[in-house]
Amino acid sequence: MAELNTDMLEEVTGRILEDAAFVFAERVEDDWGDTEKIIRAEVAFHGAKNGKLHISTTHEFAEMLAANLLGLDMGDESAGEYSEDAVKELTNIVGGELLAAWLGADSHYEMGVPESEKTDIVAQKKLMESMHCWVPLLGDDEYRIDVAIEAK
Amino acid sequence: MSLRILIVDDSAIIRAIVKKTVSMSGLDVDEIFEAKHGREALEVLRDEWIDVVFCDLNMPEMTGDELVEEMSKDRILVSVPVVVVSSERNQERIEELKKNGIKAYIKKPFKPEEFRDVVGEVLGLSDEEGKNG
Repeated sequence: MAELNTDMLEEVTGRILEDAAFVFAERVEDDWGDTEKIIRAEVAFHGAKNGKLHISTTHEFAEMLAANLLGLDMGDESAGEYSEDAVKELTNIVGGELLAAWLGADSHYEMGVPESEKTDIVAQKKLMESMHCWVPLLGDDEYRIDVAIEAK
Repeated sequence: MSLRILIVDDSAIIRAIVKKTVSMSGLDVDEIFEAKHGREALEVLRDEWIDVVFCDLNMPEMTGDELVEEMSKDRILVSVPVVVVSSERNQERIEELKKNGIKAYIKKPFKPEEFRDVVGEVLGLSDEEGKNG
């Protein structure tokens, strides 16, 4: 089993964002700026380790992610319909890659069905304080993305 | 050969992406059906002729594993090829699925040509059959 650390979270999430959505992201200081409303998705995992992966971002990035995944122009109304779903799917794909990198593809583990919620910056900061390992990233157009793992 | 395809995924965005990807893949597609989970997929499979199923694994109501198991018990549905499209990396689970009859596995994120190649392989299509250009 590899060591789970912020480098691994950054590397795996960055690669998936680039491959799936043509978004380039890099690590930044913990500063959400003026952001108040956030979309957070989580996927649970069980087996060699038990826990949850969380990905949180702004509504604007979620919409851009949906547009990029679907090959739509930014501002296309249908991207907004899929924005929450896009963050859930990103969490699902990052979860698959991350668990394989961390636990090993030969380990026994199962992932659940991703879930999402609309939340706010206060709840987000409180949640991150309880995380085992997390990293703040900044994507194209300066959109913030938090990736975090809680695990036993 | 015009293909009738069933996409099974609880994520609306993934169903939309797979639909778009299939349309860009060069495959000759007649109709694409959608289902949100395995149980809905079984209803479609019992009502419609389907040439190939693209199926996620982790879904509510009925998982992809359970759908494959149900199809394997049905004398008609057992012959419909299932291609798993998933972020799953667990080799144990993938091997188990292969033993239970899935024909191929496409890893998310995917490229359009993977769908064309996998469908060609699974259905034994030549370049003239089922592929546009």
